[in-house]
Amino acid sequence: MTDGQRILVVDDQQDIRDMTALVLSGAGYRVDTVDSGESALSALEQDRFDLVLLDINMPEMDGWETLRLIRCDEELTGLPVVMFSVKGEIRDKIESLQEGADDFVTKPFIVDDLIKRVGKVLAVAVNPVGGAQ
Amino acid sequence: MSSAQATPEISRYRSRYLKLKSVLHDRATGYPAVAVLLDQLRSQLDGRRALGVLHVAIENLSLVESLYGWQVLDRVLCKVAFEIRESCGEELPKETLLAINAVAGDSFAAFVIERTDGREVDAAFMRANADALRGRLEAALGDDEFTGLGPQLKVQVGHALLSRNPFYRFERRVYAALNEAAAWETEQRHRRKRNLTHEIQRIIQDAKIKTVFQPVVDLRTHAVLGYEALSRGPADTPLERPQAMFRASAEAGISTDLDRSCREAALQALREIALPGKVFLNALAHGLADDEAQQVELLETLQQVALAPNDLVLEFSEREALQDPEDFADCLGRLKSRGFGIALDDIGTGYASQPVMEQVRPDYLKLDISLVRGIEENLIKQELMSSLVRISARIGASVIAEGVETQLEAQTLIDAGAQFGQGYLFAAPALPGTIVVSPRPGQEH
Repeated sequence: MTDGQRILVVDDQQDIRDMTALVLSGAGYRVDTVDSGESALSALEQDRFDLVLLDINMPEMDGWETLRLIRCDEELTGLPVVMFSVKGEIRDKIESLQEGADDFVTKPFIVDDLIKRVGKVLAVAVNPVGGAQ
Repeated sequence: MSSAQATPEISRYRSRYLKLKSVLHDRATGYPAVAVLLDQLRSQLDGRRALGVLHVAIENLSLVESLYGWQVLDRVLCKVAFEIRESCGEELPKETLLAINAVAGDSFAAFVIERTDGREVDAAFMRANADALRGRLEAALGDDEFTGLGPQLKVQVGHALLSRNPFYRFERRVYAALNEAAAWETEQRHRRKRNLTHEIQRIIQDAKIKTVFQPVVDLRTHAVLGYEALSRGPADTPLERPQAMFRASAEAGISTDLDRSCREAALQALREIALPGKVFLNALAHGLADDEAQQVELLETLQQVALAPNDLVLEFSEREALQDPEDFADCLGRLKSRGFGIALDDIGTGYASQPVMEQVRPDYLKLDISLVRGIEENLIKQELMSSLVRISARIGASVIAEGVETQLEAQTLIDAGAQFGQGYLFAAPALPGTIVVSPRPGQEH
């Protein structure tokens, strides 16, 4: 059940954007793609998205900076962000945790794994486990 | 599928706006930086002789981060920020302006415009404000539910007056007033630090360190793998926690002495009561690797209590590897070649260095409490845990998760492939002979 939830895919590589969009729209999500952190911020200002899939290594504004800016935008409070990286390095995962990302996907992804992860993050966002804090 | 459209200008303004905001507003507390208030302060000072300035800092806050990780420090800071905000209209006049001294920093500034009755502030009024705010914060932190560190988190509130002086630039007057407010507090802190250094020297000389032991258990069966020796300073003093002792000793340049004396105490405790299973013992890499005599003493003690050299697992903090990974690995290699077991401690505290793990090939990876706390609801922590379990399998190490407190955490750790755990869910650190391991669920009687 995806209820046509909207996902924004942010990646500077066209083939990755196309492939990811194909996989996620195949799973029933409505997918938009942008090629930079700056365009992601303005897309997020114009439209409501349920989740952002954010590439870490982008020229100019990288994924970390984009994530930090998303997190200081009060309009976007609680927006789930999944980091997307070719390197599955521990350091990147720890940084994802510190910067307040919701999950981490290593590229190239396994189709079922990506869909499962996105589904899980969206489920947690709708029904957070535990109380506040 | 579509491509979102936005004009380049809008994108640029949006990201510039957010960028500026991110450097001028603190993410954790929502407080603005002092610079954001400058214009407001300038206009408030118009027609007044002075504004009151309070500088609020919490001593030992960095201890919270080193003990419990940055998330808990963020929570404590949010609590302080909340209490200061709530104090406006109660302990402080309602219109007080609040700021954080630096974005991502840990001290706060409050600018008192005037008294509640509209009269100008003066030094006596500010001293009373400072005392009242300190009282409130001390009470709030005293029952700190996150860390239990309340008594050690000393609240410092310094005060000063910000007056007009056309000889100086206004902005610099603001920062000078804040520095003045902080100076009193810094003096107090130095005095306390000097006392702590004496205290540490006395603790080492008089061998006042006690050793408690906490079991490391199999997450599924609760079978005991071994015990970690944990040092405690004199009870009911700020130095009871080993981290506090080590910090103070590092500042005094005597951490190697303290490190050695903690191991002495642990060895003494071991000789008195032989514990079954492995013994986990903390050490500084150079402290032990360069201390031939103590290595021999360790080996002799192990023989006395009928343990093999690799039953003693020496724990080294991964943080130590930060400065010189090669040198760190070399120290651990020397100890490993003497037959001691090796564990890398504090894994996941931000310095995770895969190359060091691969090079040292420790017997155990001890995963920091900050990765364990709330892991059941944090997908990235689960992902990190799985990665570390995979790495540990590749290098032939076992994973020990530290600080396990709930059954949900334990179950998530098992699901991620971790084998061992340590924490209050299984047993609290205790003196030998008084250690009780809780039965696994379904096995209670």
